[in-house]
Amino acid sequence: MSFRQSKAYVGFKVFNGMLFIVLGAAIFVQVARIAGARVEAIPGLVLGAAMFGLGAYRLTMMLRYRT
Amino acid sequence: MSSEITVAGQQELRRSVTPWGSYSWGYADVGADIFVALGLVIGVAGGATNIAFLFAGLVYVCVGLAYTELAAAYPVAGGGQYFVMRGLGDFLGFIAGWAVLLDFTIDITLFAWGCIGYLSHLPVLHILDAGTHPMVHFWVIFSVIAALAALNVIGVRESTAFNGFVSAIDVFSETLILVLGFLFTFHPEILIHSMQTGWPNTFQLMNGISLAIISFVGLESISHAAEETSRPAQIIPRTSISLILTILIFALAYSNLALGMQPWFPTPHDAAGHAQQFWHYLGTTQNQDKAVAVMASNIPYFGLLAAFYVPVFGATLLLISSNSGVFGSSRIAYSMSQFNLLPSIFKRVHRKFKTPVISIAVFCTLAAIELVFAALQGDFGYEFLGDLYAFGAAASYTLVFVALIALRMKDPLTPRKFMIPLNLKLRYRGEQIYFPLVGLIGFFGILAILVFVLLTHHIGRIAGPSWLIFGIAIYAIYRLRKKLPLFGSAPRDWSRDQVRILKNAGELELMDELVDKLKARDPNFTMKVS
Repeated sequence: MSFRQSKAYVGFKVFNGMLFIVLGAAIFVQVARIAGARVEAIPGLVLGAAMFGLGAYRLTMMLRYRT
Repeated sequence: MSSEITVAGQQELRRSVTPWGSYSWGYADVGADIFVALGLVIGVAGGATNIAFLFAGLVYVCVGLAYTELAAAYPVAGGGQYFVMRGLGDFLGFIAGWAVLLDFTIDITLFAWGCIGYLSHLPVLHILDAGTHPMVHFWVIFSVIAALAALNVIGVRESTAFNGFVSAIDVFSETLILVLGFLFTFHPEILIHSMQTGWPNTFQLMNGISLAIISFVGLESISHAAEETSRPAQIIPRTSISLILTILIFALAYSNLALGMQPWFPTPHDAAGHAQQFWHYLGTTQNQDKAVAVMASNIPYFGLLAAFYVPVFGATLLLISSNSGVFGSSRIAYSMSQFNLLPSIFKRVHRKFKTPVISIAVFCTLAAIELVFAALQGDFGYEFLGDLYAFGAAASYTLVFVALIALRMKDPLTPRKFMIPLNLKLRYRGEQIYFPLVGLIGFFGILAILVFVLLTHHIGRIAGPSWLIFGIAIYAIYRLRKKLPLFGSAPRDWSRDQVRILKNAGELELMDELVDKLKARDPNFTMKVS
C-alpha cells in the first residue's frame, strides 16, 4: 500500500481541507461584517473565498480518490 | 499504431519524478519567493500591498496555466526558452532564454542575500545584518555564492527526495504561521485602517505590483521537472494546479495578515522617533530581507519558538532556491547551446565530474558582479536585485504567452491533455484551432507588469534592457560565425521531434494520436527508424 493510500495521509488531507474551509469562511464573514461593501474589503473577501475554494478542492479530490 | 513507429534512441534524463516529486520540485523554487517578496512589496506599496499581490497573483494564475499546458504538451527541459523558440523562432527563443538566464543569475544573488538576511534575525548572528555590518554581509554572501558554485561543479545538488522533504516542512510551516496568525493576531478593522491610511500613490502602486510578481517566479521548474517526470501529460496538470493555488493563497494570506495583524510586542519607533504601524516597520530596509521571520515572531506564544525556528528554516529554503539558480542557469545555457542559440562552450562538461563547469563558472561570476552592484546601492541593494528579477520574469513570461498563442495556431495537431479553459474555436490555414482567451488576458496582464517595471524601476529599466542588448550582441556574433540565420530559424522537423518527445515521455497513446493526425494531413508521412 502506498503512502497516498494510507489512513494517515487521507486523514491529514481531510483535516487540511477542513481547516482551510473553516478559516476561509471565517475570514470572509469577518471582513464582510467589518468592512461591508467597501473597496478595501475586496482583497480580504477574495482571500477568504480562495481559501474556502482550496479547502473544498482538496476535500473533493480526496473523496473522489477514495471512491 | 505505436508498433509501426520506432524512434531513434536519444540520450535523455531518467524519468523517475513522481507526482509529489513534481509538486515539490516546483514548490521548492516558488515557495521561497514570499520570504523575499513580502518585505520588498510592503516597502513600496504600503497599505495596498494586498492589492499588489492580488493583481500579480491573477496574472500568475494565467502564467501558471500557460506553463502547465505547454509543459504537459512539450515535456522537455528548457522551459520558456524552448516554448518560445518552437512557437516564435530562434531569435525570440534566445531572447526568452536570455531573460530567464538573467533571472537565474539574480536568483543566485537575491536568495543568497535573503538567506543571510533571515539568519541575521537570530540574536547570535546579528553581525550578518546588512545595515550594521555591510562588509561582513557582502563577504558572507560572496562566500555562499562561491560555495554553491563549487558544490555544483563537483555535482552535489539537492535530490528530489530532499526537495520533497523540505517542501513538506515548508507547506506545514507556512500553513502554521498563517493559521496561528489569523487566529490570534488578525483584525479586519486594522486591515481596513492600514489600507486607508497607508494607501500609496499610483507610481508606488505600480512599483509594488511589479515587485509582487517576484513572489510567483520559478514556474520554469515545472517544465524542468517535466523532462524527468513519467507520464508528464497526466501528472503535470494535476500537480501544477495544486501548486498554483497553494502559492497564490500563501501570497494573498501573508499580505493581508501583514496589513491586518496586531503584533504581540509593541512596534519600535521609526528612526525619527515617531510611532509607526506594524506593516510600516516590516517594510523598512532593516526588515525587508527577513519580513516573514519578523511577522512570525510577533504571533503570541508561537512567536517565542518562531523567533528561532523561522529564520533558520527561511534561510535553508532560500539557500535551496539560490542553489536552484546555479543549477537552472547552467541547465538553460546547456539547452540553448544544444539548439545553436549559444556557443557550444556552454555545453562543455568537466572531465572528472561531468558537470557543465563553464556555464556554472560564467553565471556564478555574473551573480557575484550583480552582488557588487547591489552592495554599491547601500540600503537599496535588495530592491535593486528585486528590480532586475522582476524585469527578467516579466520579459520572459510575456514571450511565453505569445508562444502559447502561436503554438495553438501553428501546431494544432500536438495533443494537449490539458488546455487552458475559455477558448475560441476558429479555423486557421484549413485547421481547426482553439484560441486561448485566458492566454490573451494573461499576456496583457504581464505586459502591464513589464511596462510598470520599465516606468518605475530606475535601475531595472536601464540594466534589464542592457542585459538583453549584451546578449543579442553575443548571439549575433555567434550566429554569423556559424553562418546561421540571425533573425530566422535553423531548419528543424518539429513534427518528428514531437513524436520522439512523446515516445520518450512514455505517452504512447498521445504519440499514436499525433501520428494519426499527421498521417491524415499528409498520407506520405513516415518516420525513419535508426
